[in-house]
Amino acid sequence: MAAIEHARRLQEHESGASFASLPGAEDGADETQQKALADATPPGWSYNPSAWKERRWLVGLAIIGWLAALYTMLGQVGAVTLWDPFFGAHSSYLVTHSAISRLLPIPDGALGIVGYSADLLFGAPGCDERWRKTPWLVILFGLTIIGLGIVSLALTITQGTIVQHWCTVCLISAAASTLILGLGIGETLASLQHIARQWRAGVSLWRALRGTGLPWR
Amino acid sequence: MWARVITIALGIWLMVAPVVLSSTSVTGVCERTAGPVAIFVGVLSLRAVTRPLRAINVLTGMFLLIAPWVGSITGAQQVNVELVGWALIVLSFPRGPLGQRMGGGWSAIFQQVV
Repeated sequence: MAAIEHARRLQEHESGASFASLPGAEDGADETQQKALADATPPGWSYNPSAWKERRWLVGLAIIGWLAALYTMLGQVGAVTLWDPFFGAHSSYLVTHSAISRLLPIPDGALGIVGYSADLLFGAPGCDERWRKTPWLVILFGLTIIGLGIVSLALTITQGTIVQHWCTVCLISAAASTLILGLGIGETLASLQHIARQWRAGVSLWRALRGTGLPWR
Repeated sequence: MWARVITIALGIWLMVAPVVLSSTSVTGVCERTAGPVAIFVGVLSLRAVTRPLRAINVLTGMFLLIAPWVGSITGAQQVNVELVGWALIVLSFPRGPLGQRMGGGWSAIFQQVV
């Protein structure tokens, strides 16, 4: 019996019947549009963490971080001397050429470029309903910003403790990563709540992640 | 809000304190470890979604109260790490108004699954 109910709801979902049956859906285009906008907010939320209004700050900060990482890498391969008005170019040089920055076969600036690129790739695309239509993308985004945030924190600690010198561009990048994590992680929470609700309703994890589960209301 | 702002300010102070107070290597290392963590946690706790993370600064404060004793410590440094350590712990407690609703927050995920 439950399976029949499930199939019926699924059919409704795919044919868009559940959306059309919303009260007021037939009253003029304006109201429908407003309804659709309000609908994009996750249940129980006072704002929509996937809205472009929220995400545009993340994209801006990711671009700042990406440029800082590119500049750092250019400094590390010797193409430029890093600008540092606070601690001096020598201090920046010591940080970006320290043993920590050479832990990997590639300079850590290059790792930063990869990180911020992933951030933009997973954070920029999609619509205001990313949190439920592409939960897999939002979760990849969440993992990326958590990784970037923690690596930035660790690198900032090593600047002060192991290298004992500072680098302004590196600190700018760390600040960008921290802000991105704080501003962006809400969307991941909305996706995880959505997946948990779908799971509870008997949808497989795979379908929930792909965003092809039951209607969300 | 104010608790988070003071936390961030204390974190920045911890990063410059070893220079100002000419801290010994151990105290300096402790301050420069705790400082970035306090700022990181303070910034994240500004937003309602990540407000629960402020609890981490209880550990940051405890670290600051205990770890410097591994090395030698002078009067001014001792006063500094104890004041800042306790301040970080106390400032972790006030939650402040959330201002936003987030569908029950992080615990809602587990309530749905279990």
